[in-house]
Amino acid sequence: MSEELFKKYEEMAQEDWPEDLGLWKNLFLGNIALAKENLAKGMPYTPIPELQLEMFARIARARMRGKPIVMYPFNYGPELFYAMNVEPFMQEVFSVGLAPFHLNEPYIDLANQMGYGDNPTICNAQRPLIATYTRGDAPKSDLLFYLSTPCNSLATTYQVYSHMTGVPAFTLDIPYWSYDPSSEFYDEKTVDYVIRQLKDLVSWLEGRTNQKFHEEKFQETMNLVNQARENVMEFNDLLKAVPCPVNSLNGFANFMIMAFSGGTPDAVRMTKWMRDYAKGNAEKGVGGVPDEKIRIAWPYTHVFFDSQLFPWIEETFNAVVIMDILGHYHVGPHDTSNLDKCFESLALGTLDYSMIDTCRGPAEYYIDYLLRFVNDYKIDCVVMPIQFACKHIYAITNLAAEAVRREAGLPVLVFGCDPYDSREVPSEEIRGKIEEFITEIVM
Amino acid sequence: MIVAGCDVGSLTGKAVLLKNGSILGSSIVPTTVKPERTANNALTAALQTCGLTLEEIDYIVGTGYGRVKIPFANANVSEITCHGKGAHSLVPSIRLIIDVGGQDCKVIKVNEKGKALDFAMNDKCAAGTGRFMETMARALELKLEEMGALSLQSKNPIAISAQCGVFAETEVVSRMADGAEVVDIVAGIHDAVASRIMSLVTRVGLEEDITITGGVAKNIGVVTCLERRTGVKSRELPVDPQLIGALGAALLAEEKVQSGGKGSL
Amino acid sequence: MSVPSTIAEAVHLPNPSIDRWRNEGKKVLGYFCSYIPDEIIYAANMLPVRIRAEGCADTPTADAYMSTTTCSFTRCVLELATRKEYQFLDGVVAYNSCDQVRRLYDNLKFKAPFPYQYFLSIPATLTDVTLEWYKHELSKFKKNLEDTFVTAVTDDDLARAIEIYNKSRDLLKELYELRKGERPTVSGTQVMNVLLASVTLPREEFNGLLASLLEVSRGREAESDYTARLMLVGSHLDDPQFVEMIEELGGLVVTDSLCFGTRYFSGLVDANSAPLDALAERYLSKVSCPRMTGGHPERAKFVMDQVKEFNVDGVIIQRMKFCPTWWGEAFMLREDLKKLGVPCLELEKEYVLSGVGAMKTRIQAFLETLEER
Repeated sequence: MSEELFKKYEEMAQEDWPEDLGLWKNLFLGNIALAKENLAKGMPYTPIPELQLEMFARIARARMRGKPIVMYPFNYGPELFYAMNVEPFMQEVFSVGLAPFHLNEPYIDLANQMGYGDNPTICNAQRPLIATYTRGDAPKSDLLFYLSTPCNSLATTYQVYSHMTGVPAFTLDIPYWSYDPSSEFYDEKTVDYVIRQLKDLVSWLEGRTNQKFHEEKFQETMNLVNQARENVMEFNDLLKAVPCPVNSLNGFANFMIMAFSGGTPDAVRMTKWMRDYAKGNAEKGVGGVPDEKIRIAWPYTHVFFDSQLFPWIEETFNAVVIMDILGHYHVGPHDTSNLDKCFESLALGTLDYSMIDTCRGPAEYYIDYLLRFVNDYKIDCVVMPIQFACKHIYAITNLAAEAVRREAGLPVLVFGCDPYDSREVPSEEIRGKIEEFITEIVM
Repeated sequence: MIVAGCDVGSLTGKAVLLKNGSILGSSIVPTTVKPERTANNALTAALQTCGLTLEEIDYIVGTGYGRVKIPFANANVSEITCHGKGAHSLVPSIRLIIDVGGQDCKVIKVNEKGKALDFAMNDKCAAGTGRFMETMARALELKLEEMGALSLQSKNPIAISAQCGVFAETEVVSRMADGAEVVDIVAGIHDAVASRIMSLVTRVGLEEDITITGGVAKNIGVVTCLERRTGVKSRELPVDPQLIGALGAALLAEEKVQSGGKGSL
Repeated sequence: MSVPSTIAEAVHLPNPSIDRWRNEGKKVLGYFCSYIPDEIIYAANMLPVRIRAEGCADTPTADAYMSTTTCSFTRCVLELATRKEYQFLDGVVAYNSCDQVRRLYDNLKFKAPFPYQYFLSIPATLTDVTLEWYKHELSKFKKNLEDTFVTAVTDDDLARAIEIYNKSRDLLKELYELRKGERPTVSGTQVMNVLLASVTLPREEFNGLLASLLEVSRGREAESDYTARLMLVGSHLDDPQFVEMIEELGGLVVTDSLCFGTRYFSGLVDANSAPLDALAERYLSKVSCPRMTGGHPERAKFVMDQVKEFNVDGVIIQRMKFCPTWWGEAFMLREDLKKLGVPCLELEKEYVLSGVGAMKTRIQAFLETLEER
């Protein structure tokens, strides 16, 4: 990140920002300071700080210029929004982004006070949104988009948000079935169903924003997102090497890149950087974790409030976490040679997105994914820290753990926690469990 | 006309005797395993304070969790209605009552007649109740009565983050082991109790004229925390805060008799 | 046996009517909830029985598989299934009503499979596109029944089933009419029993019983000793004891928006359209469950219409612990009702009625706030 870029962002922060961007500006400034600090400390470059700062800047610019903002969830790509020239704003920034600094906890408490759910009923990935809106800390959005999957927490909270704010919402209904003819869950109408809804989404966006759908722009965007996907798939492949050429935190990078900027030239550039970085290491036989001894599969989210958890695992056990369930973005690339193919790519991207592909249907999607993963990535053990409120995964973790133990013969650690709230199951306790598991069982 | 209100709660049983709106006698007795016995003990003790007998009472209303088990009660009314009525009768401008008892806490909104309009209760979890305070006092080897005043001495309350009362005890013990100041821990505990109560207040909606009743009302630390959080000064009542439920029940007994209801004992 | 006794008996699973049905060599299919058209199952000459978990006291096995922070209804079903208490069912049909039922279905498949299990993917929104998809799903389901049970389900079969089920809807509507006036001749508890009977008895038998009950009820002495007229709102409530508890405290339940109640039977299927199309239209557009995102305004309006039509004094929203969908709905509905000045009590309960003392306190207090309004 160059001095120039910092200067540009700092100047932007000096401008007159609308009132609803109060918290947003503070976070922006905080992130600039953090990026500078890390640069000064000599931390190795990754595109992520730049990605985050640009995300803050984008939303601010959109608010200041009156560009329509569409709120969307963490499990859907932003490419269509870029294609339609509306600004995508990922809601979970407030829970995931604030968690490492524990700044989301007051919002969790406020949600409790307001009587909107509690910890084991509604996931704290979404619950704070109601509280941030109530306090006036959420940037105003013009539209709301969400999926019917993977979980009720998300669908319910967005429904409530739309009700509270009057912001118009569009729900995309995600089918349960597979589009793979060899699957026992195959339904040949699956992709078409999603395509038709996406076309409805386009009409809805046109109607609500006075932006028109342009075929060329759409095709260009889909080209870019698929170029980025190609890079990501190569990266994913490179991680199969022993030792794994990147460390645990870098396994999450591509998800963030695609989730924030998929469909833009930035995403192509950044995913290429990640690919080149991994490739460079792989060719030299260099591991992201020095003297790698243990390879861990983590088929759930990070423990977001503990940003040092993965570094601690790496240092303490010479272990590497090879892509968590979100980090393992594995979509496409697809053919985008004509408009129909572009829509198909958009639909497939929706169905195969992180956590959607594994969690939108029967337990087999999740279990088969996990069994394939542990095999492909030469995994030694599986760790699953499950959100108490996460019904759709917690209610099948036992089935999944049984399958892994039985068919792959690997040890599995399952425990409940709240990845967003450090007060529920604190860091020490989580590390204690992992330590016990790795030292007693894995080693 | 002499009436009585009998409040059988989880930690204490209370009785209030009323004659033409004035309190003749009252009692607070420890709860026994059988609500009937607790009620009996409470009423007997109250009668003794003014030299009356059971037969002289025209009507008795029972309230509290044991209200359906009071054999000599002519009717039973929820403690929500009774607390609302009792507090309002003492200070008619009151519109919100925060009752923190042994095992539950409730927030009651009343109208200008003292009639309950809306309420919120938490009786599923002990965190935020007298029981929680007792457990904490024990864990810290302090006397329950000392806790409130002690909490006010802290300049640096330690946040007790555990959502559950049971885990909070573990947390407190480990903080002590870490060498934290007792006053700071005690202040944190009081803040945690106030926080739990605040969600109920938010649910019902804060009013400008409020009072705090129940055993925990005697804890200056909790009262201070709540006043800080609500921004409103709690009204002090001229009657022991623990007696408010029984008082309300007695007032309702009076209303019943006045409207032609008859009691039989 | 008297009509009320037959109905009371029919509330249990299994019951003599189900036994008789099976003794005739016919099949019984359990299903989850009101977005699966009973008519398709009935047209295949099978008895559709809405799945309940009566009598489940504890759930140790289910807790291990589904965790303790999931819906107790789904855990109770899994538990009973692992104990082989659903022998009277030849299969189950489920759909993605919510995460918990979806995962219950997975756990059943792996741990306590039924001889026949089928899943539908039902949209969470109502548009032309999603309606088309729903028809596709219903069509697949029908075909699967035909192929599995070697039977044909013709349009005539469906039309006949629709006629029978529409008759129930009319009769149930009539039953509710008896509750509109100042002196209803049926109590909420009785109606709850009738609603349960409707989804556990062969439909024609049920229609006959309900018709008799209506006749008997019209001449009955009215319920007059109540302090407030209540509306019950919520999800899976199948416990007459819960309604009884409320009514014993003096509140009379006169209407509802419940899974087993109005949201189940309101709205006729169009007998003049192609049957599968008509079923799809009616089932996806009936007064919705909160799983239908964006449907809240219509649901809130339905509640208000019921409040007016049935002269309701207060609304009790009961929701299952750990249910995100209903907590969200209750959160929104509470605000709506507050704005319109309709008193409302929110109760959280487990599938098996527990904490009765605490619940009674809240209900009694609520009823007391409704006095002298």
